[in-house]
Amino acid sequence: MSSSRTESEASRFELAISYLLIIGVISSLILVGIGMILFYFHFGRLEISEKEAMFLREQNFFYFFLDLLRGGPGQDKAIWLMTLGIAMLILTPYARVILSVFHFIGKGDIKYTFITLFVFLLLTVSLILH
Amino acid sequence: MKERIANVRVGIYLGMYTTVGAIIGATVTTLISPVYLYFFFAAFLTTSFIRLAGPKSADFTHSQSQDRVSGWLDLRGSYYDEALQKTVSYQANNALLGGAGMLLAGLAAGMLGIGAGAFKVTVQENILKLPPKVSSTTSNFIIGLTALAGTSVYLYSGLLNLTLMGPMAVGTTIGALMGGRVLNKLRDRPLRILFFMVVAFLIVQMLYKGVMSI
Repeated sequence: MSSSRTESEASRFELAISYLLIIGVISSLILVGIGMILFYFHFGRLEISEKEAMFLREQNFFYFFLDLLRGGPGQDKAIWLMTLGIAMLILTPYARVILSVFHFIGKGDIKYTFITLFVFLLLTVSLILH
Repeated sequence: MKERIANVRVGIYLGMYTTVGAIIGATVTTLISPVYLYFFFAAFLTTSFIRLAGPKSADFTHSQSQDRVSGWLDLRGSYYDEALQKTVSYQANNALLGGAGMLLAGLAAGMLGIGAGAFKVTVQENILKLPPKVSSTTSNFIIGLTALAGTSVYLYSGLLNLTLMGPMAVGTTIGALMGGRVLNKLRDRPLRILFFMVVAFLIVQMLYKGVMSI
């Protein structure tokens, strides 16, 4: 009885994770889409630009994301919206891993809690140190 | 619903290897000449043809035995197959060899900025002996991790172009949604022929670009 309730809770949790991620992806794409429309109206074209401002560059992804939120849209709303959408899209699988850690902790699966934590650390180090 | 077919344990275990591979691959890309990438891309694309000869869902046979490492990792599961109208149980094999294959997939994905989904599915079906549907859905889960690992290197290197990423993100998502709807209505043979033509075109294009860059 208790075991089947735990399984059902785990299944609900998995479903909640997948819906959360779908919402994350859709929100990111809406932001990118609005950004692209504004970009078109502002510059009169939508083509691949080699301008310096179009390239994203940062050593630490988290600083990059926080600066983006703190800085706000400013004058370049189109570029800001596209960057925010892309940053959210990049963060989606990361959020998936964090939620998976809780999923395995909730299931009492110590082995996979550690394996998932290892993947989480690997990704975090990669996002911070590069 | 696909989440219920995808095996989270298999995904996380294999994701560990692809993440390491992608970080190494993306770092290599920032250091070498693009000419090598064209040839490597063309060579890697040929692995997609292995998938063409891959098994169908109905061909999958449940493995009776499981090696010690796969057993310890608890790489097993079941899902309800709507086409077959039955619950399919499965257990993975060759976890370590599969991990090595995924390391290679991650390396290629990081180097070339691709998902390497066909290769990942091939490894899961042929080495880990997982059912095709589990392999494809779990592969989607792993691709996200691999992409994230590679992206961090590209962000540091300043190789991410907004005007390229924006339309690609929107276009590929709309394409994937439309493809998913059309997929069930298409027969296997025309789908494989279309896949063959697209991959063959890409191989020729990459070889041409590589030769012209020398």
